[in-house]
Amino acid sequence: MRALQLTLLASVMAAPLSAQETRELDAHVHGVSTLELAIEDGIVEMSLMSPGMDIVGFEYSASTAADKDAVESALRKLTVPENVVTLPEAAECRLAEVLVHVHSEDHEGHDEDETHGHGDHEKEAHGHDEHEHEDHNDDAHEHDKQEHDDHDDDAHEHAEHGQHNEFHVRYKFACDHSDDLSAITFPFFAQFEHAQEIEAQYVTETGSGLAEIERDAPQLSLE
Amino acid sequence: MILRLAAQSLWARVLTVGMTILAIALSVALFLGVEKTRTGARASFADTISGTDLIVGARSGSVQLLLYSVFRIGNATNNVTWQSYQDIAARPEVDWIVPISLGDSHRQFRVMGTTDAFFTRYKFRGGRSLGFSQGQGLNDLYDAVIGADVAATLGYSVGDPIIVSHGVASFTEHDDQPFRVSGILAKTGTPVDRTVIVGLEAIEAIHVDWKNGGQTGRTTPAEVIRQMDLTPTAITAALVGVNSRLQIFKLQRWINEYPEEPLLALLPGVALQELWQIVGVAEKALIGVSGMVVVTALLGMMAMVFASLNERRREMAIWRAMGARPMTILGLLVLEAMLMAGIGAILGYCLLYVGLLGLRPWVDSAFGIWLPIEAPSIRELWVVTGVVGAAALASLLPALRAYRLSLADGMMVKI
Repeated sequence: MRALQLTLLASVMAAPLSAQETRELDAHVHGVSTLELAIEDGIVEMSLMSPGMDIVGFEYSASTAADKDAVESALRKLTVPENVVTLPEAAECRLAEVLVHVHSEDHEGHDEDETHGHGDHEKEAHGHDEHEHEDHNDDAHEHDKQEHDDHDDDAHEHAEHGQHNEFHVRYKFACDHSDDLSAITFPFFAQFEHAQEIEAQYVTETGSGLAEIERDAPQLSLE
Repeated sequence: MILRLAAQSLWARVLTVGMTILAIALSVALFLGVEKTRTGARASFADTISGTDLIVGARSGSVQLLLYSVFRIGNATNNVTWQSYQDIAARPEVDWIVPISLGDSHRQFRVMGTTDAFFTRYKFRGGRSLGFSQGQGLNDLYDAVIGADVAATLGYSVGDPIIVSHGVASFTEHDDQPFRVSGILAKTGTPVDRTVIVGLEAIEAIHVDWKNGGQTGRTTPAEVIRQMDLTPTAITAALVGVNSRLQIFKLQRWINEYPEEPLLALLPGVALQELWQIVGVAEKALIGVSGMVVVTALLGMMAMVFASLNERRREMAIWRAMGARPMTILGLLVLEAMLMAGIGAILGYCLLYVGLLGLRPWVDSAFGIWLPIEAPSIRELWVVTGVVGAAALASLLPALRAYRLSLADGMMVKI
């Protein structure tokens, strides 16, 4: 009973706190994806965040069948790292983990769902380590479902609401010769015609750095 | 043979040729100087911090935070509460964290409050650690460690008293609580050389009698202050090292999305690149302008050669009479121009090195940029080749004219 009272008290106290929401939005530029790349002890971890505009050409949640197909096929493409990134052969890298999902910025509940998704998926991906990439496609389907249909109403007003869908991709590679990771190329631009630029932040043995990977020169060189 | 001819012909007109060479030399020196300063500044900045994975401060621009916290340049950023600092320190990704507190000064030098860990964690120039040339680190509340430039400029040695001023360039002194120099750091070529380092608690201690930016009038004796809880309420920034590089971005995102306080975590290398992207425009403009100066000098040389053609008409005619082909005369003029440009470029180099030797200490102390004096780089040799090549091209015009004239004039020159 006492515990219940405490819980009640806690929830009453928590209410005004949650009402005091912070309003902030991340920077969002159409045509510019961001890449975070870290290399340590033969492990290459990269996460790519692309605005929906770059990948499928629209940023509202997919409502029509055609839109949904587009999102689905994009997700399928992204689950195959070869479509996005090419590591030098000399480095002898093997794929260890893939994580792909669509992220929409303005629904808090949705975000939480996705966090759970992360965890589940990660576990799955670990289990799938040695499998073919096709397996991952199933996962992508699952993630499609996370796109709730309740976005539909907002779809046409997305400009005013600042609603933006983002594709998040995370790859993890294990490399035998990570010293040979001198340059990484991005077939990404060939796959997604709306993508113009990737802003890459990287951390390697020698420190951190920033590079812009352009459609014309889709390569990131790491000294 | 023709080279000797060209050299002697130049020597015969030493005054005008000398002026032309001087103009080329100055322009080359300017161009190379701009280039040198640019690369020197970049190297200096890049060498100033290494081994630190993240720098955390109040949310501002990453360039501003980096410049203020590491280089002590530019506008101050807001402070970070001690509580947020401890939240970050408690993160599992964090291997080490060193707080930094700025705001006071000693003479023209900044005073930085930090912890002893700074001396082991701060790395510069590709992982070198700080070393003491005299004395040791902070053992007492009122100990201060000074950088090499501070010691050299103010003539301090270990054991000397130091009085910290409140704020920067102010006349209010914390003279009730003098510090003692406990150690002098070896020269690093970084802003640390121009910093007085004290303990984080010491920064609190000297502000015990200060409330809301003013002195309260009371003077709490040092013995009482030593007994007080001197945990700071705020710091300026913190240097963070993570356990694994793979966690940097995760930690960065956590800090940037920290709900209780608007914070900013930056990767030093990334922030520097951002800075270069901004500065790059100005750099290009500078290179453009200094390049135009070289072009102007070469145009001046061209004008000089044109002007000399008339007075040398008879000379040309004599050469023709002695069997020189018109082609030889063209070659002679181009060779003369290349000689002038070559001598000018080499002289420009000498000027640059003399200038570097003279200005280096000043640039170092005023801007914290260490300009290395080294053998010319491949790029700089290309500049010299380019200048000589451009001179050859520029002289072609007057040379072609001489070629035509010498064909037409023959011996019968009517002047």
